[in-house]
Amino acid sequence: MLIRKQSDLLLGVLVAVLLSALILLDINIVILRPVLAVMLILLLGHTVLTVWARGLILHQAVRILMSIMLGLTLTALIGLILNYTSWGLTPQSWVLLLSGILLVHVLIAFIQRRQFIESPEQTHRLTFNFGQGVMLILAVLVVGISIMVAQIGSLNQPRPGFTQLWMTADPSNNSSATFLGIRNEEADTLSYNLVVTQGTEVLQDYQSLQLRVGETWQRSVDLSSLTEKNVPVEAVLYRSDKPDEPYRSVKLWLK
Amino acid sequence: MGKEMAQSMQVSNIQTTLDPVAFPVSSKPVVTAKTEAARWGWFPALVLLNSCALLIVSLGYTLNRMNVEWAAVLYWLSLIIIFVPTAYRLLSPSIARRERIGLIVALGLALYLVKILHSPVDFTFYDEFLHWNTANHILSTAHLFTPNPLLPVSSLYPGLEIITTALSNLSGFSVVTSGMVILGIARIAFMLGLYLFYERISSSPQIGGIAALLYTANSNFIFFDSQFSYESLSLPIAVTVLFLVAYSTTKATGKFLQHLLLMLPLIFVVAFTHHLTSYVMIGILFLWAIVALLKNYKSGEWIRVGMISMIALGITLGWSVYVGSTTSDYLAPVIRNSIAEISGLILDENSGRELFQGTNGQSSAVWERVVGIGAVAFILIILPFGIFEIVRSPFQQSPLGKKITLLRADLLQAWQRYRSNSAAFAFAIIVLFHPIMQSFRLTSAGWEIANRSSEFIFWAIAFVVTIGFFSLKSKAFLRPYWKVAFVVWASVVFIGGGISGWPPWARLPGSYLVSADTRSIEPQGIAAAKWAGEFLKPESLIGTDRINSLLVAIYGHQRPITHLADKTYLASVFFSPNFGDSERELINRVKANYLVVDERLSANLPLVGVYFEAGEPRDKYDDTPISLEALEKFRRINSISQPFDDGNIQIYDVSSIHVNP
Repeated sequence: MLIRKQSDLLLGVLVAVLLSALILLDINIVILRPVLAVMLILLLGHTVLTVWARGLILHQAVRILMSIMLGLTLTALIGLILNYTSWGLTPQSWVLLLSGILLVHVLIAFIQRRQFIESPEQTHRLTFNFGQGVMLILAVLVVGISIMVAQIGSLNQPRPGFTQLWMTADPSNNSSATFLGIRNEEADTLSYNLVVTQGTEVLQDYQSLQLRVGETWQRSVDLSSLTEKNVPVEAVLYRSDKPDEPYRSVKLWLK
Repeated sequence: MGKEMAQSMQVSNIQTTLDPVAFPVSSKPVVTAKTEAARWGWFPALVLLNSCALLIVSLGYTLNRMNVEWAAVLYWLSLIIIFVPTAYRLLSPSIARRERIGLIVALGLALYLVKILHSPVDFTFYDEFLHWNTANHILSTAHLFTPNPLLPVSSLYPGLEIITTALSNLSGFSVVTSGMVILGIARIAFMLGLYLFYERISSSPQIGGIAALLYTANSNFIFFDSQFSYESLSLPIAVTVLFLVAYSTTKATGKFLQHLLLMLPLIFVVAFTHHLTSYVMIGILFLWAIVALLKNYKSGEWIRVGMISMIALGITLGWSVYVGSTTSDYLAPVIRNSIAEISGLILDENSGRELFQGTNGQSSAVWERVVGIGAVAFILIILPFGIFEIVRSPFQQSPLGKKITLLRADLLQAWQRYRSNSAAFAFAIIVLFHPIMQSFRLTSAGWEIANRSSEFIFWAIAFVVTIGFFSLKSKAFLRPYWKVAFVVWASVVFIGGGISGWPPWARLPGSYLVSADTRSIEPQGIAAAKWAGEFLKPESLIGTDRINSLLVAIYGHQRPITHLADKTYLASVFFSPNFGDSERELINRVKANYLVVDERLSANLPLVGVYFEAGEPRDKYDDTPISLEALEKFRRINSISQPFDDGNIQIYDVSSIHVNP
């Protein structure tokens, strides 16, 4: 009887402890962590309401509304407070503070419920009969299918393909190397020719580079030996099926 | 279904499901599991129907991505399937309260999913990128208020982003998934709050349900207020505050100060989530307090509402002054331009905006124009009846309840008990602004104000037109057709709202369009931005167009140059046919590192009206796209390297210009 009466508070303790353990021990269980995270925010609202709305006449629908809203708004306020701490808004600081506040309120609510006789609240069981249950389960399934259809449609939308060409200095600045790269995002495997020149001088000539869809080709070239700074280094990409027609081009002015 | 309907009709006689405060019952009836289940009435069936409608809209979106012309029919069909049966069912006076609440919440969630299915993988709406950037900054720095060049004010009002990143940190979800979950939860609360608020101020579950239903007809409900943007969170919180004010100012509900304490976190969070919502909320609260003072002085309601208004004002002003100080810079130009344009229209100095016509000259379909105008007319026709009823009765002498013959005796008593309902009277005043706001739609600058005001003014409109429609029920000529008339009327208003709120090309996802926000977000631009993220130094200053600014910030972790953040319009660098001293000076002024040039811009006029940002050197009546030669000029400039080319998008390194100007 006691457990049943305090089941919401026990659930709060369970969620807070489990989620804290998962985050602090860096255990990632795919479904469990998101479910616990949402429950932690909503249960925070519920327990705070239980403690601070003691003695108020709140109907079930109002309690649901207030639990959601207090859960969301208290999370926002706690975030604001965390911003002014040295920890900042990290997974660890979030879970410790939210769980801490939840557990304190669980304790107060527990004591309150034992010390005072609760006024009878008008609550309604949210029960469904078999037919209603089937309809709701079907609805969830159809929504799931709808989301899948939309995602498949989005990911497989017909679009024009493209090829990326680049020639740029090492982004990490760790070397004097220059990166040359090609990425094929066309509809099919393509063969490319890449010619690197400075003025009339051919510096590199890469022939018949076969790239599958989504594949990247990259080379590091050292241009530090080039002394001519007034003529840019150019890389021109050709498709092997149209070898005379420049397909992409990039250029680099040496410093 | 028929059996359940019959059961729900029987249950209606019990009426224990009403709010015990608004509708006290003398004795507690015996409730069995069977009657508990029966109280759900049509709810499970309509939820299933809604889910089928979502499958239809999902197919519509997919077909539109494949350029199937009639795909939009599926979109509208699904909206009708979601809205009409719910509207019809909610009209019934005899359904249980839980069914009403269930239907309203299911309606709100279904319409939220209409938006989610539009972009089910990532955020693709313009405003979503602005707040996504703020959320990314919070995740990467673990602190708030990192300047956001896309929308500086966003980082100063981080309520939504804090909650989203909290869930992201706790769950391991991405910002996108966390945002969708948080806004889904907020949508449930929003619909619940709307229902409870309207029910409270009308003392009628039936009116509460219908008013909440009609609120979904505001032009921003389906897309704008479902997107990952601060207003999508602030509206539900503000409605909850309004409900709590109505709830707590009734003596029977308990201690006012305790209610106030529970309200405080909500008021705080509205204040630091969205500037406009907090201002509107405070305006409504003050009006409510003034009406209570004038109409209902003895009840002391004005003191309680006034106190909450003052607290909300203090918190909001405090935040605006000490943190969100740039809000006025952001809002003032929009308001100033709108008023100037309206004045010009009145003085016949300019021609105004062509209704139902895009900036590229493309017009909406004829049926859309008819329904869009019809929706506005339908609201304007019913509003006077609602205002009249609220002013005349039941709030003074003759209870409107007597005309609502389907309400039972105890409801009528409850109605009379609230005859001095100040909130309802305040709403009757607020709806007077509706025609004024509609006039703003005739101007280009004011269209945004008119459109953005609808979600706020509809708090009042939904309630007043519901009262108006119920008052018409007593007219003999309308009585036999009342239900059908209401469903048709409400459907036109709902569909009309959907038409006027979101342009045709943005409603369904599809192929790439030039400067068309959601329709311009596609893999090639994203891939170029990701390349920038991989090969360019993070937070490099990048000058580019409206769409690529979003992409390089989110996918490339670069720092786009914007007028909002840098007080410089860089657009003329792109528009100019030559690259001369003035272009060099502009690049030098903002210390731009790179320019990202999207040659697809030259293919068409910008669908949102601008290629880069408001204030660009292009006449809005100019019907020629930006020239390709202007965009290609950077290739020919000595000292400007071009490290990237994908056929449509080129990236130019212009850092040499401010190193050696």
